Amino acid sequence: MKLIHRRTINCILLLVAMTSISVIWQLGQYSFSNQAFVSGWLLFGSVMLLFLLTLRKRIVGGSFFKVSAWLQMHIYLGLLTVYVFLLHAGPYWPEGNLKQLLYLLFVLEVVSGMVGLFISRKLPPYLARGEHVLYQNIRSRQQQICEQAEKLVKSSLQQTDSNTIGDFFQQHLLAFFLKPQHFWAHIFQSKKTTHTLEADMQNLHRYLNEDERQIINRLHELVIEKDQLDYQYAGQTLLKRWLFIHVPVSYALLLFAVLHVTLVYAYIGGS
Amino acid sequence: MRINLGNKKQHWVCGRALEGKSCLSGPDKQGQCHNRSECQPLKKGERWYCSRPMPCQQGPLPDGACAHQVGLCQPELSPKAKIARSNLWLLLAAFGMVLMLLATNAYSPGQLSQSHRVLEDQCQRCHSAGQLNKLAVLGLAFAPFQHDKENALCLDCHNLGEHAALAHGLPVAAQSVLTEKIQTHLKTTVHQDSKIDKLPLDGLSCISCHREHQGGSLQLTGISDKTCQSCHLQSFIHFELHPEFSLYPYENKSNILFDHQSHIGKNFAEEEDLKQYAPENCNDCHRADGDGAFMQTKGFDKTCNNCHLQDIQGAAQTAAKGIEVFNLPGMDVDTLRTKGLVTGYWPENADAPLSGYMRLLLADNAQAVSALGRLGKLDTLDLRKATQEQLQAATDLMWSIKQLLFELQQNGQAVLISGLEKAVEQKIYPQQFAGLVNGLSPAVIDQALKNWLPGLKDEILLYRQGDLAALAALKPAEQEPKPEVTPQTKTKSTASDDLLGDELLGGDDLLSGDDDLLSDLVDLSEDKAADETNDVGRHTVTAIAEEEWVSAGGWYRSYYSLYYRPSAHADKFLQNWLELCTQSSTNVLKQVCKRIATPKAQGMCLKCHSTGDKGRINWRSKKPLADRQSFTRFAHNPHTTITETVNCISCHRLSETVQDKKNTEFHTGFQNVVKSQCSDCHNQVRPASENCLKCHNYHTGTVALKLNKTDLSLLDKKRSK
Repeated sequence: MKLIHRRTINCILLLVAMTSISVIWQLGQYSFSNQAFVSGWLLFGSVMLLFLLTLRKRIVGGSFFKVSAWLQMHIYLGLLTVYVFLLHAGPYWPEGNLKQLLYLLFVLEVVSGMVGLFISRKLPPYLARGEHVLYQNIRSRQQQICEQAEKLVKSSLQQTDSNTIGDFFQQHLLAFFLKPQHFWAHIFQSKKTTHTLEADMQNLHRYLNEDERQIINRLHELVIEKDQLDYQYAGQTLLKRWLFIHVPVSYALLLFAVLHVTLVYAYIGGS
Repeated sequence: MRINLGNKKQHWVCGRALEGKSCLSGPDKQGQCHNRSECQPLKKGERWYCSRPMPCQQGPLPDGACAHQVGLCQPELSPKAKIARSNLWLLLAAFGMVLMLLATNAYSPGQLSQSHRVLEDQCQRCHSAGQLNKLAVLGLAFAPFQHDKENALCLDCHNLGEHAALAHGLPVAAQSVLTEKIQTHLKTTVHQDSKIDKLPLDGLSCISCHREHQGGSLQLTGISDKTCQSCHLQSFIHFELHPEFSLYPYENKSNILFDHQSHIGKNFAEEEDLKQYAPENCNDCHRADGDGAFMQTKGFDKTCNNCHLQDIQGAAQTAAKGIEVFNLPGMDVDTLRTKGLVTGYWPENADAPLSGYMRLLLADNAQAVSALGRLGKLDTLDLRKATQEQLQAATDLMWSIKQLLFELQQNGQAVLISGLEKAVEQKIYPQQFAGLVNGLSPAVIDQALKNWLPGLKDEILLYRQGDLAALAALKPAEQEPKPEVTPQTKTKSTASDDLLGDELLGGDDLLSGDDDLLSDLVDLSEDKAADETNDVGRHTVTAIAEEEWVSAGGWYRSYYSLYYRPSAHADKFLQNWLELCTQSSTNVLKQVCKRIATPKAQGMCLKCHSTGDKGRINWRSKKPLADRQSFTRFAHNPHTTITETVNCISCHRLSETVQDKKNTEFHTGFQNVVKSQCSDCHNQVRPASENCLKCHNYHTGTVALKLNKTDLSLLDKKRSK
């Protein structure tokens, strides 16, 4: 199925679901039952279904639909859950510590989810443009590049008997090569900091002789390679790390939701 | 299929992975590095080989150890393990927070409304869970919901009547009756499918409509119209679609029967002598209550007194202005004596039948009751054809009456209580009794008995001794005093004929009727003139009749009867006797009530005071009770204060003149209020609210807050210690 068709169908299903819930909500106003219970259980059920994605990912084999299909369900159900949440809690900051905590966790969960969805769609094409490096090899590769740069600088000292490159390296490039740099600049596709570094290197040319220029050119190549690695590192780190917020918060959300439900039924006098 | 819970070996990775020099074996499960060499040489045959993908040039040592020795690394957690660990820590933190919330009761869902703010720290006042420990609270969540138990906590402070949980606080049967009534009036089956029979029999819970913990500005009584329309199935979103009003606001009988049309159209306008007292606007008789919501009627003294006081005092009565209470009935004494019965002295001129009051007071006298039963309807003034038994009954009755009056004279008013209580079959309380006798003085009784039954004391003593011979020997002639004639004078009423109305007089013409009476008047006046002329040179003063003497009300004597003439408005005697008529329905009392409980009776109480449920008399004009609510409410303020164009007649329009023929029939004199008078402002365009609760109450009947009980022992310092 084409992507556009799939999305169209999913959006229609989402709208139908929202409409159905709205109709039920409106009809429920003409009753003595507390609509908060209806929306609350709907919300809790949605959250549980969303949570099932984590479990589905751990199942190997079996016929429970593909994880990609589960992910699609997770995304659209998540959007529906936002709507149900607004029906249940309202679009305003609630009162009460527990309710505020739940509200905060849910908002965090939604925001992290939406951010994760966005970056998981946007970042991979950008990352695929350059040389693809496995995440676990990035640091070792960066270490190698750093060692190469250090060797190059040492050789420049021996060959040219000048500290220009060495001083420049010490001041501007050492920190750059030692660990991943410009994380957020790479995330927001900004080359400003890298260009600044390159410009500084270019400006150094006037103070170098021919041999030193070759060395600085080689350093420049290493800078570019390192920058590309940093780009990969930033992108892949973000792709992996956003789940560090999304998944743990979901556990906490679930725990506090159970507490919320328990206390609600306890304080109205039973279920 | 299997569930991947994560490879434990992958929890730790070699610390040199960042350098690109991770070892092949990696750390153990506990994250300990045991590898001191760059590789683990493999033995093939007798030789050792480097196991790295790119074997080193040196190769392993002869003993199989790697030639490149390195120090131990510091293993690191794998990314998955880091995620898992962060999850665990967050979960633990969350769990800790849960425990902290439970321990500190910091899980309140929000601020209470202003009216309940004082209970902020007293969860147990409204929640049964608040009375339990934490574990029990969590367990309660799984217990079945008992709304009556939770409701009881609300009803600890809020008194909403006996059926608080039922719709409108009414039992189901009452709801059905009301529904049928509405359908009959509206001639519609609009409520036919209402949910009355579908509501839970044991009622609703308070939280169905009242949901707290939504902040201090919450109006706890603000219920959505949709909630009302859960039961009232004729859903309408605007007041213009509300069903037309039915008999509003005159569905219930007014307490004071007042014909506005007659008074405004005729009495106030045409009666010349009453014009000076006539009100000029509605406010002269009506005023708003303290809240400005309810229009009350000013008291009799400020509204009706000037025109109607004389009516009450009997100025226009053609018959006796007073009520005959005590009397000596007429007896055929001659026949009784001829037949040998000992009667003692009995005035021969007494000719009235035994009054109802006397029958009532004799109710505890077995002899009198028996005698009256035996006499039946026999006319005691002519006993010539009476049987011996009836003659004896008449004699017994006479002695019973004498004993009653003797006891009254000797022992005072208290002797009447037992007779009254026996007659009405209920206890008479002191305050009520005081009203029933209203100032009956010993002097009145003494004077009456002195005139009616001289020598009563001696007779009673002999009678009680059983000395009939001595009784018979008593000479009546010595005892009979000079009869005192107290003529009744007729006075023409100074009030308007229209006010009295033909109905008041029962169609009697003032100038018609008893010619003898008129001739008596002529005789008396002639006698009076003769008196004046017989006394030479001196003026004589003829005392007025006793009835006229007590023009301000009180006891008076006329012939062989003691009358009570009503005083001004709210006479205690009449009020208490009429109240007694509504409380008891014994046959003996009915005879009294027939005389006084009519619109034309002395005092004319029931001409203006309507009767309510179970015959109860409405003494006061209607006032809203502070702790009672009806289905509808209307506040005159601000309706009559907002704009000059809105006044009483904007809603209250007079209908045709009606006559109150019976006290129980109700005619308002006003046209019913119609919906359009309200919907002109209460609509979707104008700012006046259309909300159901603007005009309707859900809780009807008793709606009040309960006061906390304070044990008096707390005030006593000795006991409180």
